Amino acid sequence: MSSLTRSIRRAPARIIASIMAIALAVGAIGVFAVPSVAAHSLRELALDDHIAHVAADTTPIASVDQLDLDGVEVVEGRVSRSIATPEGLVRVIGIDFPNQTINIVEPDLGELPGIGQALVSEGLAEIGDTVTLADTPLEVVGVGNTTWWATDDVVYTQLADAEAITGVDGVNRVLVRMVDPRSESLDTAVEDLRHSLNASGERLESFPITVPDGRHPIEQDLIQTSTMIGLLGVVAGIVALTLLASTTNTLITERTREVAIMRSLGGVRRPLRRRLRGLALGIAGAGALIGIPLGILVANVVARVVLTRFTGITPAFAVSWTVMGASLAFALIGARLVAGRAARRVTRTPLAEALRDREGSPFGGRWSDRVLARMPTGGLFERMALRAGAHRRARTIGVMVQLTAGVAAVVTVASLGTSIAAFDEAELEPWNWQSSVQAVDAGLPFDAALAGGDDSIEAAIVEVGEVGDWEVLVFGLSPDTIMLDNDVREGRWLDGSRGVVVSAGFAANQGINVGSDVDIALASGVERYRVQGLHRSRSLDFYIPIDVLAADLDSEGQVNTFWTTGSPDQIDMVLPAAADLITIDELQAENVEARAVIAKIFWVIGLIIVGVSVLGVSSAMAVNLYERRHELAAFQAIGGTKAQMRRVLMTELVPQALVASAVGAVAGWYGSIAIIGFFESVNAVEIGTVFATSMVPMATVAAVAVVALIAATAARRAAKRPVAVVLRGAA
Amino acid sequence: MSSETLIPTAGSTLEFEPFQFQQATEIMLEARDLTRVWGKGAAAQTAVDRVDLTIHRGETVALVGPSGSGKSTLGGLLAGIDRPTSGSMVAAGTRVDQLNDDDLARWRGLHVGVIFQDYHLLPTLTASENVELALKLNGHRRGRRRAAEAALREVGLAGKTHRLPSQLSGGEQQRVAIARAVAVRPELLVADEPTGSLDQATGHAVFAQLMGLRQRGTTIVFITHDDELAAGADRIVHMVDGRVVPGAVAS
Ligand SMILES: Nc1ncnc2c1ncn2[C@@H]1O[C@H](COP(=O)(O)OP(=O)(O)O)[C@@H](O)[C@H]1O
Ligand SMILES: [Mg+2]
Repeated sequence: MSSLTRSIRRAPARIIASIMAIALAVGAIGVFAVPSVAAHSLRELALDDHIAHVAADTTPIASVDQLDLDGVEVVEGRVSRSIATPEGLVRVIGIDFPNQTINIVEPDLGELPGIGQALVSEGLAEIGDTVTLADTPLEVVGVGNTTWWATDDVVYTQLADAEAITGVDGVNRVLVRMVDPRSESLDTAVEDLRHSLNASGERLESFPITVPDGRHPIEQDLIQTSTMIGLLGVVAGIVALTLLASTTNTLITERTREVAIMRSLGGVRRPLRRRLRGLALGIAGAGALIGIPLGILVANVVARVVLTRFTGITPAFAVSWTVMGASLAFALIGARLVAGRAARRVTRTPLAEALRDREGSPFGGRWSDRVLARMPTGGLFERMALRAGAHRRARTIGVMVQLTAGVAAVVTVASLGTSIAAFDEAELEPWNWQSSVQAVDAGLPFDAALAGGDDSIEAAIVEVGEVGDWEVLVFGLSPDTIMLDNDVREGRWLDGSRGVVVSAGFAANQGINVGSDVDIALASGVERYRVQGLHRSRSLDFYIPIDVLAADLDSEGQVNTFWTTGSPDQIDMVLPAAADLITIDELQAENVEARAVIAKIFWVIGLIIVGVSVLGVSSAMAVNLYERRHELAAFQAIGGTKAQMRRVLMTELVPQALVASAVGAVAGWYGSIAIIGFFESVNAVEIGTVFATSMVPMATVAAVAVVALIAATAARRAAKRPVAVVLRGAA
Repeated sequence: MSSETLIPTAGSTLEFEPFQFQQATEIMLEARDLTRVWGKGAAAQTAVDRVDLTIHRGETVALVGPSGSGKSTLGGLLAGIDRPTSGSMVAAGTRVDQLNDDDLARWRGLHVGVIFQDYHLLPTLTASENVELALKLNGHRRGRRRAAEAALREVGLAGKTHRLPSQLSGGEQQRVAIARAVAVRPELLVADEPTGSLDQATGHAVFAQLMGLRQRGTTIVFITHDDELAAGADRIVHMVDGRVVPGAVAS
């Protein structure tokens, strides 16, 4: 530590720049922690709200007491139904407030409602207002929500009021908390629930949501976004590692002469080495100490932006100790390894050599130097540039690796952006409908015949199901639908028999082939279908003939969706249940908006990484130019002007930047493929990599601009200091 | 060897005033009240203290004095590689102390050659390239290679033009430095202990080469500890504590 403080006193700017660079690098690794910070915040909320392990929509039942379930901690029945109001859809939820133990609703303002009263989600109404639903006026006495419904407009009332408003006789939503909240136990609970309902002539209206292990249901929705962000941590890690290695190496190498003097005065190698390592560890440690809080901040800010934007939940502050501990270990172990090697080299350099030239080993010592000196290629400036680069090759490689990493990061981030955009487009691309009307609540409430004879309107079923552990979308479609392009990549399209066409990407990931059977867990139970085709759809979609699916769901002739190739007002039928109307343009606009948020996050992370690499390049170049200050002074002494000095430096650095950009583009290409490939395999979804080609020239220009700026700054600084002052140390 | 071989004529953008020995009384350099203070505040140290100095064209001046007396500092000011804290200096008709950084660099290139005790050759360039660079920086566009090789031949390094500085001995490096300084035909040559890093025999040989330039009319200021070398100058300027003291000896 004492050697650290001494070093800081001697060259404050450079040491502090090193510490800050390492701090920023360690901070960037904090991006890794985004998924775990987001998940952690959500789990805290799950704990607070007593989130249900199983939530099931059922046909109305008198009471949950009639259900026969094993291993249950607590079961609660509720009323839940959406009501169309002039202001839009409102979910009405009836709760037995004195006995609520699951998905607990607490007022942020006011109090829980009694009969004739309501508690509403924020923004829907104020305390004291009266809301009228289905001719029932309710006095608003409280504002609040549970995080389960964080993005919805909800009116909470007493069970009796909800029954009156919705017409549900009894309860139609069952919430369960299990003693054993693990996945298998929840699956059993769903089975028990289904049997118990069926035994009394009732049934599940949709595939129940199961939330194992104290998670939050929203976690599933966010996991993709946050993993994608977390994966950028890999890029940050690589850039950080390069920076750490080159900074540490530089710190020790520049002490070659000083160490040589101590050795010549009788200094023993081992303690000298220990001191050098101590210095490197001190700087890495100091960097990590600043970097870790920075990383915690980065992770929390990003997690917060993602959560509030996509779930309406404002998370509490959380720290991923694993990631922070790992980045501290990473900084210290990395510094120790690099420092060990550099220190060994420095203490082994022959004394005569180390003492003779304060600018390191002289040019001409290696055969490659002599070959270069014999190669009169280009003008004098070009020769100087090439040889200077070759002479300080470790420094050159350091600069180029940092630039490469920066370019690769930019290209990767941009490619992730373009790939996601392309994926969004591709996801909607096979669909031909323009407008869709879909029931909001569970079940198949619409008569398929409502579509009438209009060719531009089609009835369909869209249900959530489960295949393996994957939540999938199950579509019931007419085999000769015009709403979905039915050309398959493999096999054949639906023909009305008991077959299924599956998204090709998911099928490939799960080893599902044409001709094999898949078991799909539906509300009505597990059903088996023969795979007869693979579709280019990018989601996790299963297409089944509508009649087959309706029969399997015990609802012949019933559907929950109408599609039209025309405008929304084409669907002018009177629907018996609340429905959501959306056009494909709106869907696209929503995608674009969501992408813009993700893009922003990506760019923030990208900029942090670029910042790290620019800092790294600048600090490497600062050292490089410091070592060459006598050379630059001599250049000026014989008449070299600032502009000429800049030209020499540009001649040296611009080709390095160009090579680094090319390598960075290739690395970014493979990096994007690797990240998206990883993402595809863990999410069983086909995304496809769309390389951000247009980013390559921009990144190249930026890399050249960075080195040009460094060259200009260095030339300006060198020209300012009188030659005599610089050379005095050398004379 | 005629001095013609050293003058890069073809395509040269420089104009040299023709050397006329009889004009030895023309003033090359005139310093008035020249002062250089190192450091600030309590640590301030006046290395050159109100020095008045006039040097004539073609004159050879030896700057002598005890270590720390300000010889190098004064030499740096005369060569334009440092700026005075106060005072004025007119050299080759230019108010040197008032030039901006770039103009000063150009002025140096055009009029001055500097030779350091530690040579300060560019380490990545060969002997010939070092000389060529000086020519390039001073606007010579053509014939640089030939002029460089001629200059190196003149200092006896004809066979070693392709060696890197690290492949040359100290004496050889100093001779490259001399070739580099004189190839551009400076009017003023400032040499700070040019033989200080060399053994005596080599030093004297190198010095003899430097003195050879007198025949071409170059004004030479050299700093030395060696009385024998100093005795070879037209004039000896003594410095003590930053001041020029009387006692100049004409040779
Ligand atoms: N670059 C500098 N920074 C600070 N002090 C300097 C510098 N150069 C010279 N000095 C100081 O100025 C004084 C004169 O130094 P110098 O001109 O090198 O003397 P000499 O060449 O006669 O030995 C000395 O005390 C020296 O310490
Ligand atoms: Mg001196």
